[in-house]
Amino acid sequence: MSDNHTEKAVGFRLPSEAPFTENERAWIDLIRLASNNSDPRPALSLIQHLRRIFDG
Amino acid sequence: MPKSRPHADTRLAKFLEKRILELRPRKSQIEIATDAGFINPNMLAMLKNGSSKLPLDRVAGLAKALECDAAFLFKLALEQLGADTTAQSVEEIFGTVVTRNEVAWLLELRDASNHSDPSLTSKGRTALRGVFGK
Repeated sequence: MSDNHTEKAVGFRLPSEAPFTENERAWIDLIRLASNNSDPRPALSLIQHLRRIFDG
Repeated sequence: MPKSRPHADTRLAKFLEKRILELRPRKSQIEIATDAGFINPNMLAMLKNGSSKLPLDRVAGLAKALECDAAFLFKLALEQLGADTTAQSVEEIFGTVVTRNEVAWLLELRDASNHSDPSLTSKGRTALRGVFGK
């Protein structure tokens, strides 16, 4: 995790993992908005799209 | 919305209707109500039609009976509280409730970004909306 994003989102926690960061909170907020709060499972096809964001 | 069904338009009532239908081939509504620990099986019907809201202390039992994510159901139950200060208190003390699926998304995000904690750029925003066809 980069040093310039050390601020953590209070209360946002993964069990047995590091707390969520503010950046990650923003990603989750957008996933909620874009999916109409349908709590989508990260299916393989969706994950492939996500990976393309970082590959491109 | 009829006064007798003040919660009919909530996401929780709609989710119950959908989930009970999905489970119908192998589990009846009465079985779900019994599994959830409702003494009166009509309680589930009342939650589904929106005449009652789901008490927070029934979330865990009902989530188990519905075979769904308890955090997700908890979020929907919080929404039913509307302007009630309980939802605000939960948010203040525990932070945003995240579901199991959201945890899975974040783990994928960390992996895909090589744990770089990427900020949400406008490019990323557009691409993510595209993932959901928006």
